Amino acid sequence: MADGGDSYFMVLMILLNSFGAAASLALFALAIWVAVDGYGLYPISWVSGKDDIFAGAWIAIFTGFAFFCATVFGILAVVKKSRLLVLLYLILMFIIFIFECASCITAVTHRDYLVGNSNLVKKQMLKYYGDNTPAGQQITVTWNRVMREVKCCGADNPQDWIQYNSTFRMMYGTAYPWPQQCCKRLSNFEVADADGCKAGLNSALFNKGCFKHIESVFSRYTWSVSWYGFSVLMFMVSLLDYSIACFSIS
Amino acid sequence: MCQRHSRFTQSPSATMLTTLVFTGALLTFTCADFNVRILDDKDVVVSGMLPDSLLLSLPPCSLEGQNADLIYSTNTTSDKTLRSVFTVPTCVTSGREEGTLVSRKIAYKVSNLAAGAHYRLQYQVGTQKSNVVTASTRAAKDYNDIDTGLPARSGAMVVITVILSVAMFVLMVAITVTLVIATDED
Repeated sequence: MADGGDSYFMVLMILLNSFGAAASLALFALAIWVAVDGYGLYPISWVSGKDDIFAGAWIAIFTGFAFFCATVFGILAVVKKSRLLVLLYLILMFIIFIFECASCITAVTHRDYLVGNSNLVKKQMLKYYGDNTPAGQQITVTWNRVMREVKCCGADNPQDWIQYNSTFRMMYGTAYPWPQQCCKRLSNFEVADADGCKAGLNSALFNKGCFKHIESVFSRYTWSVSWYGFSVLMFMVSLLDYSIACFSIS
Repeated sequence: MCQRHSRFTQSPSATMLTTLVFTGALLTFTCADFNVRILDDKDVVVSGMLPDSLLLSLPPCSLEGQNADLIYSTNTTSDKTLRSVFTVPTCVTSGREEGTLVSRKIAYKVSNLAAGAHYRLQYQVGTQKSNVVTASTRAAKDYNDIDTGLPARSGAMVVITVILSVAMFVLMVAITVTLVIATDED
């Protein structure tokens, strides 16, 4: 690359690449947060087969770190003033760009499948809750935890359990219209009013549905991977366009 | 003394039948000494209609202490009576207290019913009768009928997909041109 007047472009390239390195490291960290799944809702997406929010997170872990390495490589290529290295940098960045695009698009598409409305989550709950299969056990444990921690019952409301038949009803009969996790509990974890809960007293069980919480968690994961990934990609597009322009001009 | 709405044992003419049914319905309504109903979600319950039971409100507490009988029938069975199913509870002020929990009875749960069946229910407390409540238990729908197809494409999905696809294409063209220029120069 030419000396002298190009130093301005070089400094800008170094600065932009530094900012890109920081942004992609943040993407790497955010994707790790999503993959770790602190809210513990992965079984819901795994059983449904729509778990590409997490697949997108794993790809973003790779691309985040790869972008970081490539931008550092880009800084070195600019400092060394080597056209070959800059060309290699451009190709590498483009390949990583494609992978990150795949991550963003697949994460947001699967989010729409999973939580666009409550139907899938509701059907999965009715089909798998209380089932003895591995999928059923995972779903049962997940729903028990969600109902307990979020203080909710059913997907939209407790009426889901009586409007539809379910594996739970088939396995455990009609003694309880809904799982015991729907019942309000005392501080010592005992059910506050077992008879009231069975009868459906609003004061004895949780009346709100769990779908809102599940939807908000999956949306949070998706926005982290897809929208933040998208913003990193938009920055990388401008960085790459600038790099290509500098490369072509010099 | 009110006459119970009786079942027909012969087939009267259509006009007479209509008149009798109408009069019978009127008599039933006007003969009610007190009214009861199935609880609904405006009350303090999730639903008064469950797949295998119905929640019927209680007789007024002015009849406290008396035994209540339940008269029930379906479309295919004649009236049957369950004697002394419960004792009419006293009024609110005498709720059972356990620590800070004050409970009071609000309904009678008619259990062991068939799903999706129609029932006619009536209380008899002493010589007094309630209105005839007609209700059906819930017929649970099959969860396999829930449609789990893609509900709609959200704005995020469309925006991200379109913009990234265009950006990918632009970059691909730019890098290809750059490679060609670089190769030509070499």
